[in-house]
Amino acid sequence: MVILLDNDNPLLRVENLTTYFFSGEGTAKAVDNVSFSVKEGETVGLVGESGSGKTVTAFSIMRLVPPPGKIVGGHIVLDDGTGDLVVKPEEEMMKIRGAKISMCFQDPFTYLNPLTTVGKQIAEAITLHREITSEDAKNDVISLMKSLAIQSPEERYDAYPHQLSGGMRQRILLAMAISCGPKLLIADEPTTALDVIAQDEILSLLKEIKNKLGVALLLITHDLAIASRLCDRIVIMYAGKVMEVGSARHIFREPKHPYTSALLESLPRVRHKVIELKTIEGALPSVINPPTGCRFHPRCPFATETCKKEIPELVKVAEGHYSACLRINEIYQ
Amino acid sequence: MAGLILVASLSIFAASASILAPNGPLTVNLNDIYQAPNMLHLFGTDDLGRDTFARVIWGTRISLMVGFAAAAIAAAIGIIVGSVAGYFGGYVDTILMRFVDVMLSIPTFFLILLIALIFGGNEFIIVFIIGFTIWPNGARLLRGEMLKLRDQDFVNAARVAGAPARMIMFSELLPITIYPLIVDSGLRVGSAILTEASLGFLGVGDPNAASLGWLLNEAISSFRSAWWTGLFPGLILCLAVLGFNLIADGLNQALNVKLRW
Amino acid sequence: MTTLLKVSQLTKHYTVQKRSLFGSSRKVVHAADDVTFEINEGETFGLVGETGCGKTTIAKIVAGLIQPTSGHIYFSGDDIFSLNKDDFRKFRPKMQLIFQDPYASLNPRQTTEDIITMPLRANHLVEKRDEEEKASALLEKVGLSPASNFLRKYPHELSSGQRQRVGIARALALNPKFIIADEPVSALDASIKSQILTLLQKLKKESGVTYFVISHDLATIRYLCTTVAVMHLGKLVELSDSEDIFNFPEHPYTQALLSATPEIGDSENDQKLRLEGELPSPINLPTGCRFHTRCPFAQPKCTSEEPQLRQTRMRHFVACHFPTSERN
Repeated sequence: MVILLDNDNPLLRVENLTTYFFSGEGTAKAVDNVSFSVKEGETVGLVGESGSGKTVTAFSIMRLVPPPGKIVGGHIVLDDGTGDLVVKPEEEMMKIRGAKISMCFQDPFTYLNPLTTVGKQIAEAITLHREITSEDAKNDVISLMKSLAIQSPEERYDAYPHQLSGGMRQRILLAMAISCGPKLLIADEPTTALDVIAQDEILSLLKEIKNKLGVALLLITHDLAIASRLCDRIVIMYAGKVMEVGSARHIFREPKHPYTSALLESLPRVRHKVIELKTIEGALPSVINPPTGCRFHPRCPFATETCKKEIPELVKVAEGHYSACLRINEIYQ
Repeated sequence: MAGLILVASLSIFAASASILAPNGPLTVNLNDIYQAPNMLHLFGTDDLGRDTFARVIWGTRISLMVGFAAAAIAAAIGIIVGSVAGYFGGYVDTILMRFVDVMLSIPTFFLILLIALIFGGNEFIIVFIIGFTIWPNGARLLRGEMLKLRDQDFVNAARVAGAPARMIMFSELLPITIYPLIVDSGLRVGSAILTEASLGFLGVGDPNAASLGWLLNEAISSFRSAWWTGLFPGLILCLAVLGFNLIADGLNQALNVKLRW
Repeated sequence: MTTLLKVSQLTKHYTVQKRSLFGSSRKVVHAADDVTFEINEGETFGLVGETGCGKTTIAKIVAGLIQPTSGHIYFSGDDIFSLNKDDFRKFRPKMQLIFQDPYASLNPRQTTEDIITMPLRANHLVEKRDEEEKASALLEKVGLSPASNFLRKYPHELSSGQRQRVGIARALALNPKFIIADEPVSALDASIKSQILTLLQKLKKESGVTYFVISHDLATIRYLCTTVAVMHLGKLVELSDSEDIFNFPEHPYTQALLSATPEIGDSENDQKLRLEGELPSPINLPTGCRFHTRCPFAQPKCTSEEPQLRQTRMRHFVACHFPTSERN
């Protein structure tokens, strides 16, 4: 059991979080013993491929895991006195969601009500948590929209979601998410549905929100480049487990986990021409029947017999840098 | 499931007609007229002394064969029309679907009745007439499925590979799109049986073929006194249609689950 | 260098009926306008752009799947839309397609063997008894080994990387000279992308096939392609050798795309070309240059005159009144 003590006074501490999905085909161990922390004002990236558990982790933090999923172990502690979110009753969680921790999603279109104006939807987010007249709420919404670089906010207030572009809809979702001044904003693949230029704008916006409001950001993404752009620290996840945690600099320049380094060497780049890509063989494992021991061992060039049997724990390799690999000392001395 | 058992047992019943009632439905025995059901004659006898059991079993055979054959003809026509309309779209589709609309707006029973009256009372003709009038619904269902899938990438792959339209429709798409039509065919068998029975009941068709409808027709006059002449054919008829409807329903449920790919 | 494919003034317009209570109006969607380029034998030509730029439309027209509104596609000198039935049948196998979605591009009711041999069966090139052998050879070629493990599997039993390989094997079945790859790795996970990218390179080395790659991902394009063309709102805005485009982009849109694309290790202080405003709709196109509403270098000329593709440097073409090399 590892508690990441390096981070003193973290805002959010996730400790040994375990969330499983119970279905007829078996139990999907979507999130298995995941630990990391987020400091106030920090941007942490949860980075992983499909099935890595990054989205389920985010939903677990918000206590929004859909059935047949269930948090079966661990703690999610908000260190401002709120306590462990895993055991909070639903009425208390409803007050926390939106006000203390907020979330915005990948495809804004499906998360916006098509029958209500966007202005009203943002206002609804505000009036849910604050005693405020609808007139004041409307003014708040308009200034909020202005701060998110939504042009002509008075007109846009009365627009319906289908009348807006993808980038604009994402800004509306962001407006709803930050409307009550949360301490932590979770952004789940906020730019996956957007083209490169719109994506760039949203990423800059997220950075601005972070700087202006001092909100901590937990960014869920499969894209290492986006994580590199926005995140102070990165948590690399694979098949439901954490493989490596460290500052962005550590992860990208001196990765200390075979999965991380293999991934970095296998991706084509845009700033220079890559002559040869190093492939990672094999396919992503099933989370219903994950590999024994280290979940990456079937594809790892350094795997030994021990790797098939022992589950690696997160071990400190440098200040603020942790890796879950049994052979760290042999591979990276 | 229940439907399958029902239909299976009825089919066996009908198929064994020649064993169980070797004398055929037409044997007349004027000595035994209007006997109530007894050991010798399980379902009793009718006004001409004919064994009702024999008549019912042979009648079931005819009715089932007519039902299957008509539904099969309808399915064949429906597959062709539905595939062509759904795959080619555009003008072809518009023309074919207008034709389907016309056919669906004509009260089919009267059309069948009319044609049967004109062309005479041969059971074969009846089968064809029914088959040629009940196909539109299946065609529509198939066309709908085809339209959904015709622009999928795997179909484009076949086009780019130079596959002729015929191959794309029948090799690539039909195995996936045919299911709603199959369900519909199950229902059509039931309705074809009923239609044929109705024709027989009205006296249209071949009395010698003695389908269940004809039995009912002949039972009208004697029903008051010899209830068995009407009850048994009617009961079997109900069971048959019920059986096919249950099968169709069961297929529908099974396919809705399976159709996720 | 022989020219294998020539796209000449290709235009595709779609008419959209907008019906409202007050009557209907016909609007025209300009999916592609006057697009011209050539692909030489042995090249890997990349067409890059954002959603709605027309690249997928161009790919489908080149593949012969949709008819252009005007313009021509010449393959080895023949206008593919004017070929008679027999000549078209001879041309068809030479150009094949790899699709983006590994789920939708395989028939869910067919086994791998059937899927891969479909092109052979469609052209009567194989007997029933030889199907297994041919399919196995193709499976081995794309790295699905031992083939016997995969022949009888259905698509839902394969991983996305394996499905994509099956799709590639199918494209190779007719031994084409020209393969169009529409977003070949976009739907794949990061750790699988490299498998397919290296497979594509290996196949090219072995057979000398010419690739036409469509993608919105600049990193994929840079890795695979020797020549790159950039599209914006239906027009070709820049065309050059791959390295030349990435190192010295001439068109402001290309520069914006490059600076907007995040890269591992980028510093926040890197020079960025920021765009103003929103992407115009392909129904209501701006006058003059289609990019001028968002372009930081726009001048009055850009509002009135549409720039044509012209040569600015060696083998470098731009459709812009004020490309980088002419700006101060």
